[in-house]
Amino acid sequence: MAVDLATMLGIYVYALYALSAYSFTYRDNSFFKFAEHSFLALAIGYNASVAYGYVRRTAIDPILTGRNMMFLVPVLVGVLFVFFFSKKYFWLYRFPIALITGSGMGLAMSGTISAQFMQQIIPTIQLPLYVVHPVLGFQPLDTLNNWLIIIMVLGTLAYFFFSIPPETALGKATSKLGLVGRWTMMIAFGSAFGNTVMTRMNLFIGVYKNLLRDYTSFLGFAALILIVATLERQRARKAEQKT
Amino acid sequence: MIVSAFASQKIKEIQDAASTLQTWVLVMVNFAVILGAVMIIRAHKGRIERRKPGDNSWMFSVWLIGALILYLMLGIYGVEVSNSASPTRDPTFAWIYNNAVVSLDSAMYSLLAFFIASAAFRAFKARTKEAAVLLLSGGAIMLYNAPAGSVVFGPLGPQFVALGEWIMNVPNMAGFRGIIIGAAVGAIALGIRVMTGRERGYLGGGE
Amino acid sequence: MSFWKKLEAVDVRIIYLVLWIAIGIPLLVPIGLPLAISPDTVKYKEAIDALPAGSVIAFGMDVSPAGWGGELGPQARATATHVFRRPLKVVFLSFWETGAPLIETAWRDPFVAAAMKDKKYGVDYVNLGWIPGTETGMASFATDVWKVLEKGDYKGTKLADLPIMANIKTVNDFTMLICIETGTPGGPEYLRQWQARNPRLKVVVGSLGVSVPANMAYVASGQIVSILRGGRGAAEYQRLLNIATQADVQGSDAMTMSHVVVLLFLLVGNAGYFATRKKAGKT
Repeated sequence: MAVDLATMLGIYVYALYALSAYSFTYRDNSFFKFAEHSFLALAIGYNASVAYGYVRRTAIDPILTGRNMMFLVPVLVGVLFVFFFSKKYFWLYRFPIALITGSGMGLAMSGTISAQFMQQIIPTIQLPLYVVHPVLGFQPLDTLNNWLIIIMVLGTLAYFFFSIPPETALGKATSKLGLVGRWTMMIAFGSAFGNTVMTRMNLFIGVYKNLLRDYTSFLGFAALILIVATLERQRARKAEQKT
Repeated sequence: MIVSAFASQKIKEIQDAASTLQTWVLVMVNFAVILGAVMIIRAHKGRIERRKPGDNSWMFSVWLIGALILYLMLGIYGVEVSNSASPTRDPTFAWIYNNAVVSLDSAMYSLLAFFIASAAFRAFKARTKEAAVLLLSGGAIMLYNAPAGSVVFGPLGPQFVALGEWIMNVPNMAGFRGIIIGAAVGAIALGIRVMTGRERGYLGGGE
Repeated sequence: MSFWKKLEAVDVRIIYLVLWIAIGIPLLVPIGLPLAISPDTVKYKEAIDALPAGSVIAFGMDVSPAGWGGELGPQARATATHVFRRPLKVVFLSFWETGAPLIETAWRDPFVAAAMKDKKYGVDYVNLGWIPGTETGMASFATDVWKVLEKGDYKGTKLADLPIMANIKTVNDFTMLICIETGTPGGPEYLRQWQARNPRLKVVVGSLGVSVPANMAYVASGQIVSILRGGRGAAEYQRLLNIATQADVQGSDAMTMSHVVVLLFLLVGNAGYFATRKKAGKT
């Protein structure tokens, strides 16, 4: 029975918060503000709890049990974040920031050269310019596709070359190639738009499916929120007319 | 970090030093999260103090601060009682996460679905040739992504699916490959600027 | 005011209402539209099928609740069902703090629960919970798993008490990475920090539709074996595994309906634009 109550209450809370968030599409109202502030509070509360949990088990426990006193270093450096609020000692806050940024940057750079630079350039260069199937023979469509990929990749890169003077011959050639890149990116951004539509619609469908688990909560809260939002609008209009 | 990436695995001291530094950084980043929570509380405390008569929005700030602190306390309790790093070991904390946080997060992000629909009607106009190409590509991919999208084309359905796959695998892939390579160059340049001290924005304001 | 001008000036809330109704219809009344399976989804499934028995795979649940309901949840549940049906060792983890609780949410799915009923926690699978630090955390994990997990697994059990972790010390001990990603950190970060250290690591990615265009470059280069394309990929995968429920089928139909509605809005909006431009040109 207790489990059923918790599940039912969960469905009602889910419906209240989801519909409060969606009420923004009708107009800004108190329910939306309530949802907005709840989202911020709970999201930050959750993240801070999880952060506490990790520091507690990874660093504090080894220090308290004497297993690894070296964790005092990151804990003390992490505490320096509190100097963000001090004008006089603000410079101390920069130490943990610099350490985090520096290590992250170093890791990203070393990985980027391999994963996003070489591993993207090499397959482009290795694309065969003349595709022949061992049994079926020459493949015109695959050959055309490979040529298109090479030209389009070069075109996209050329579009972002700003250091070649456009009045030179090389500059003119680069800007013509850049035009190819421009059209390529239009198609790419079009496909990005199409995929974005799918994602956003699926996010909405996911919530909609959950709202339909229980019609009472869905319709009840929807009606309540619409009534409250409409009354707030009427009250706001009356207040405007008075002034 | 860069040295350890290129140093041989046999230079154990470099690998160990890098590994220790990384583990320390993992501890330090969590303090930044807690700093963020404190900053939000300060900001909303300021709104409550600056409240004007007739404006009730300060009550939401009270609710925010109260809910944040209560949920954080519940999370800390969950961590201490369960002797683990996960506050979700506490059933109440997990219940609030699964029903409130998931609901709010999903709903807030899916609001964009409505704005995409209204923008499709009002704003996405093929005013130029480039915009027309973008819209045609977008429309083709939308139909390609829709589970039954190819049905619209009847007997030409398989050809349409082939077109959708071509768009994704050739121009789309080529465009994004160029962007990824360009972004990689930019990231490396930014990294060098940060390491040589030419980029100081991440250090925050002040002297 | 002309018809097109009146149409353009229609209250935006009418548009929202049309969307609610259009998507609500298939969710309330099953239609059962057809769904073709794309080669990418088949390749994704085959990559997992091809893993030798006893392979150790990392299952990165790098998700936020926002993406869970519509796209990543179905992907994660289908993938988890598939890996548990096979004789594999699965290490669940997350570099998103919001992803860690959703690992247990995935386990509660009826199909996943049925597939894992003969599996033993700590021997066949484990949940390492959240690892902070985004890309730095990934790099730390890749170089020394045990050092990063001083905290133990998500329940606080030390790694020494988990038999599955006995031989997992670095990223070189994994055969495959399954990454269900919302954004950053996600696929590209794993490629930079894990695959750069273990080039033999096979990577398959289940991503939001929004990330698919960029991920295609990694698929084409062979860095990612295959991807699930958002909600469409999830629906296809469920059909391939024969785990699509009535609700999933209705979700697919709603996806089709939503796309048709947006396309109609685009067509009508542009028709109005060209009609008014033509009229303005004449006058």
